[in-house]
Amino acid sequence: MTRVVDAEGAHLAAVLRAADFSGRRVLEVGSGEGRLTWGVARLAASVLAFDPDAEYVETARAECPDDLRNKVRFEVASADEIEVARQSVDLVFFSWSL
Amino acid sequence: MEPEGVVDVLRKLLQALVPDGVVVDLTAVPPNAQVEVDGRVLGELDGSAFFPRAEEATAGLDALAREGLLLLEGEERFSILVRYPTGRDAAEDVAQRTYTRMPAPLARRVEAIAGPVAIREFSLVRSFRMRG
Repeated sequence: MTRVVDAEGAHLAAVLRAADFSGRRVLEVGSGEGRLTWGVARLAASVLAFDPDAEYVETARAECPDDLRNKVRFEVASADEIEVARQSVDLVFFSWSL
Repeated sequence: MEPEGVVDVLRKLLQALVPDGVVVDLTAVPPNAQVEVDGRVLGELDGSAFFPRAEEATAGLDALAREGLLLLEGEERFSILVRYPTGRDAAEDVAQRTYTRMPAPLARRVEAIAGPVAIREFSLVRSFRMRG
């Protein structure tokens, strides 16, 4: 089955209007297959991205653009399992239920 | 998860933020997603089991804002399109979703469409500032 999600980029455009991601250390909760992660990571200093679905995380890791690999890390965890050091990020990005 | 549980999880995650850090929350919101063909609305999906789950996180952030931990700085509602080459593709994709369904009469109509079909989904993005 072929589907194209948000080819117009409305999700990413709205997220980038909502806040300035430039140079920020970002914690993303609910990264799915990384569809929005790439766009955020192009601006951010780093992105630590979590999703509870291991298949999604595998896809995201496999499809991560080469030029972003040094600043994006994907991990499998649900929101209540995430462990991150105190005051270690500048921006938390929740992308629930997408 | 109970509402109190969501708030606890959010509170723990927000400990990762620096003082004056930013929270961006992107979530799906009502109304129900619409099935569209050539820009014409054919019908609605049933999201009655889905939206309460999405609203848990929204409510949790609202609770933290009421508590004074977060300050709402902006919000925007918008929609996105999920495009499929045929109606059958759209119906099959929705059938695999856990909390959203396509009502049977609509599914029969959509499955009969040989050409492109789109599903319009509605979203809300909000930004908050962590109070230092």
